[in-house]
Amino acid sequence: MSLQLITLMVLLPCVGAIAQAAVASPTGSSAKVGLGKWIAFGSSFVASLCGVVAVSVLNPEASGGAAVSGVSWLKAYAVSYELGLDGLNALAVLLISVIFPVLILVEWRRERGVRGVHGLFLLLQASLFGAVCSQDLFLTFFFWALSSLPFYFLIAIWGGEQREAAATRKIVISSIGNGLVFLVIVLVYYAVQPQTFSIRELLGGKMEGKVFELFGVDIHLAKLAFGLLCAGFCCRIPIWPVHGWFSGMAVQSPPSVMVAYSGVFIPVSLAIFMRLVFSLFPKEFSQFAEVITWVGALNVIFGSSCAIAQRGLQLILGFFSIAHVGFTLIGMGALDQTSVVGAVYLGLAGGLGLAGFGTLIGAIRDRVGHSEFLDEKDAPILGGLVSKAPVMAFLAGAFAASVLGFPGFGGFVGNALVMMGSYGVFPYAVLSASVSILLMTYALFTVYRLVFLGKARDERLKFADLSIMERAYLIPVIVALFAFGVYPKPLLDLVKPTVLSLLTLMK
Amino acid sequence: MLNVRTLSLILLSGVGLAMIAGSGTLLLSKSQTRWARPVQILVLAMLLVCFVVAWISCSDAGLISSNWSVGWVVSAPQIAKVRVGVLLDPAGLFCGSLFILLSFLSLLALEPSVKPQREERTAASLCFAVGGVCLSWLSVSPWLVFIGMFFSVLGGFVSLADSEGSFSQAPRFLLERALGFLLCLSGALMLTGSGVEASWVSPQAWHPGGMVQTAGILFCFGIVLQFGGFPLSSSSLLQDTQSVCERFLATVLAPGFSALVFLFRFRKQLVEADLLQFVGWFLIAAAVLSTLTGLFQNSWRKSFATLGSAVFCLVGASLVFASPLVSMALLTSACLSALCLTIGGQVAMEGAEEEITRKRKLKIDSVAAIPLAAAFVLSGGFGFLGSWSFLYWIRHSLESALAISLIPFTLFLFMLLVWRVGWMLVAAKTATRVSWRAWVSAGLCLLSGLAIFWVGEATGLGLVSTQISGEHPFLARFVEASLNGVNIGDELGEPGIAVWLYAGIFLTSGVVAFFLHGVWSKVFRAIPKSSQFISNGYGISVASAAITSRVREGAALIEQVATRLFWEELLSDLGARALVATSRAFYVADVWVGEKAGKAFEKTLDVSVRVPRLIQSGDAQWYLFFGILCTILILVNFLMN
Repeated sequence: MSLQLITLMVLLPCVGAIAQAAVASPTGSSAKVGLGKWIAFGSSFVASLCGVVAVSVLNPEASGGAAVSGVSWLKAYAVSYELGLDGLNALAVLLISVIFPVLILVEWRRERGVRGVHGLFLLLQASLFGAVCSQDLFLTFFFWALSSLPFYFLIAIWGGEQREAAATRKIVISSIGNGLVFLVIVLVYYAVQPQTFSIRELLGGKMEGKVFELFGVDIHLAKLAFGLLCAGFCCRIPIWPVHGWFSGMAVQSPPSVMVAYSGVFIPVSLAIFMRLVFSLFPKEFSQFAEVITWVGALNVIFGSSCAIAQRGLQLILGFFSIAHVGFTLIGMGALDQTSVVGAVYLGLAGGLGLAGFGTLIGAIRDRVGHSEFLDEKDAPILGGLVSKAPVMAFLAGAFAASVLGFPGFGGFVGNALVMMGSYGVFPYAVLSASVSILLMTYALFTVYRLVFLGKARDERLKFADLSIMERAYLIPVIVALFAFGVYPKPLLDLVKPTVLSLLTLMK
Repeated sequence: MLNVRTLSLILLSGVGLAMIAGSGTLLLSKSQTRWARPVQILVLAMLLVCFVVAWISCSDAGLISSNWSVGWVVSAPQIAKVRVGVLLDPAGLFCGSLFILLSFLSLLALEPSVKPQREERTAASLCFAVGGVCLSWLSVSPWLVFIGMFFSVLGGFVSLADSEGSFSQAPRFLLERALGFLLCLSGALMLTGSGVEASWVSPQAWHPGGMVQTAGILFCFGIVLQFGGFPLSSSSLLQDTQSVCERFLATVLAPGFSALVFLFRFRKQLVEADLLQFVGWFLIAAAVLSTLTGLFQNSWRKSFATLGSAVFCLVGASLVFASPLVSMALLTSACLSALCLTIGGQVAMEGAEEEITRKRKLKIDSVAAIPLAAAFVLSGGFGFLGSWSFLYWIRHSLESALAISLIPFTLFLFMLLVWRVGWMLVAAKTATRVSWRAWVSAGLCLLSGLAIFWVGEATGLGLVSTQISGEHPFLARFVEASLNGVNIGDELGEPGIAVWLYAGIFLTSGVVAFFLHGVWSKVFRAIPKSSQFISNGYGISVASAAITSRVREGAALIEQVATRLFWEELLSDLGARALVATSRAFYVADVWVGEKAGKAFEKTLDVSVRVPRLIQSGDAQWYLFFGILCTILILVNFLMN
């Protein structure tokens, strides 16, 4: 794998962000604004194309399933610019590649601040590409921490009425998470000899047996670092019960930001978490696998139960994200080849499903000005949209089916693999999660009924169906979900060798 | 003969085209509905041709399968293989063909003057339903059945969504079926996760106990729910305005046919896992409760809808307690006669009030003959297959005390409901005009039930099992033999009691239904609460609504306590207070330390400044200090040595 291609993938959005901002000044003519938009889309699209090409030429069997290239960055501290693709991050790269050009198009018609939104999305794309492809701890942290900034500005500037509070809470909690992860990196760096940040060199739990004494108590460095890492990720991925910041963010974020967070950032972060714990803390992860699985099951139960109680579409999307995190954790915790492959696959399929669903929520919000479907007295606000927007209703049904894991869509393959692989190891956790799917089904069908079926509450409400552009970016997503559901073999073959080598190393 | 791969390719292409046609029709705008009906006919004709070709090619081969992908999705040593392929066996081809035939007849019976509000949705629903059922019966493993089932349910949903009046019913139908579907899916996934391959070409044993049994229970519950009987029957009890033929085909027959595949194909494994009896009794209970619900309905539509669900529960129960052949026979006769009833209902109910709470005088005319004949066939009067299967089943029930007390009672209730539905049609104001299409369609249904299936071989039932084919007794011979006290088959044993019992049930139910025709409304008035409880589906929908409401409240409470109260208010409040308090403490300490340090510094400075001042002012002589310092140093030196 050429380092240049991955570098291009990371750098192009950054260059695009600067270029579009320079071309389209706020006082500039509409032609310049248009040019800026095209630059933003072009850079995002070409970077995504690079990502797709990099994944398509990837041979996971070669060099132990990982294709890594790197150059020394800060030689004195063993920090290297090391990027690579393997089975664990290839699907995340595909996810970023598919969603970000769509997000640029979603914000195409924004009247005010389009330059800022596009620029921040491009920065986010670059940071996520970099974070997921990095094979160096320092570099991973650099990109991953960088990704918290665009979210802050996107929420704080273009969010809802209480956007400042939500954005502040988000950035504070993200900073705590980043700080904890940075602490882990420092601990790891000083614990191993020779000191290194390279994940490949740290493979296999190099911190085993390192102990330090505090007030007469022996503390295992690896366990401490593992605990801190989990805590750090809890601050950035919504995990019950540490998800209060996420609920606020779900309400106040613009829908496209919520799509970026639920559909892309969370799966990408989970992929990074998976890589770090499997590579650095294999023994600790095995010891706490059951706990992680049950945390996942609780996430599914809680996410699906709370989804029923919501009145707004964005919060439902948020709680579905929590449930999806739960499924991924169950898959990881089972430490079975099938379930881990399923967890990785769910990142892509679940992410695409949630992103599509979220984009439709955005489309509804654009048309009616809000994303609530029930008022304070639980009386329906919307309804009967199927007759006004049949294509939207059809696509919403398809995305809902994918999110629920109906056969024929990518979500099915991910959920199926997680459940098949985990059932033999933690049957009761899987059973609990299965029952929770029924709750998710109820929640989603209720929403579908209240939004699309029945009689329209306001007959005078003008509600246009999806525009040509909206169809142009949503239909490929649904086609991709269908393709991933019917013929998942090529992608699964890509993931399997890496997962197998990591699990072998763990056992 | 075409080879298996070509055949399976042809069949799957047919199914795929049906689904594409369905999607395409659905996306057509209202203005292009003129294509809807031709698309339906084309799809049905194409599928029928495919099935006929496959049937002719496979008739000699028995059971053949074509695996398209072994290890689809995943291939890992610790879990079972996920196999996808096509299974061409007589049972599957027969059921697929039967459903296509039913769809044809239903389409033929639709009155051309009665156009649905959204014709393209009606056409799409039929395409989805037919494609889904055919795919389910052609699959070699549950995985394609799920896709088929999904399309069947989708067909029902689209069909219900074709009119304003059914809008409330459509989502509930979808939800109920989706719950059943997901339970089946979870069961299948867990089975595979337990290392048991869910496939019909190389079936593995389901050992009782442990996780396999748990997975099997989930699977069975899913199947039962998919039949639409008790407990999830509330969608069929909602009022709708749709064509009854269409509704029956898309919302009852299609999901039922798809779900039946599992019970039919997994029968042996369910026996191994000690689950079949459990499923059987549950189905019996569901049939009894659904039938009672049907008996307490005022509306003909609702009665008929519960009858449809009860039919599938009975077919499933007969599969458990009798044999696959019996259940197939019951399914065939029940579906044909029930379709005939719907045709009768369609023509008799046109322009008539459906409510029959007031007593009407029964008046039999030419139109009412259709439903009566259908009811006659459905309850087994002349319907060879129906009567034969009932008889066979009763004979089986004689072997167990519990069964003999319950199964005849169940059949009695079922026949009573059938007769009641028939009499309700007769009592209704009948249509003045009936098109020739309805007559032809009803006639074909009845002919199929009475004559074509008389021999049994033409239906393909004989092909289900070649052993049974040879012993396949037909009713006339059976009755004659039983009257003469002769055994005609080892399997049936002494038939005398069974025949008399069956005849008694049949006649009693007919008579009771006739004489109680006007009594139901009185019963309703006499015990209003109980009647309402039964007719509303035993309060399941109320209970489920209450449970859902509790879940909502609970979830909201958890969310409130765990998130808003704890994390946002309590913790962030506490955190903020702690942070402010800490910073204040630091600040106070800082001020205090600063003040003290300042004072100390001042004092030190003051002392150090005072000494030179004393010297400067002459109050102290410098040499005096020098002498004192030297003395101290000498003393220190001495002390140290």
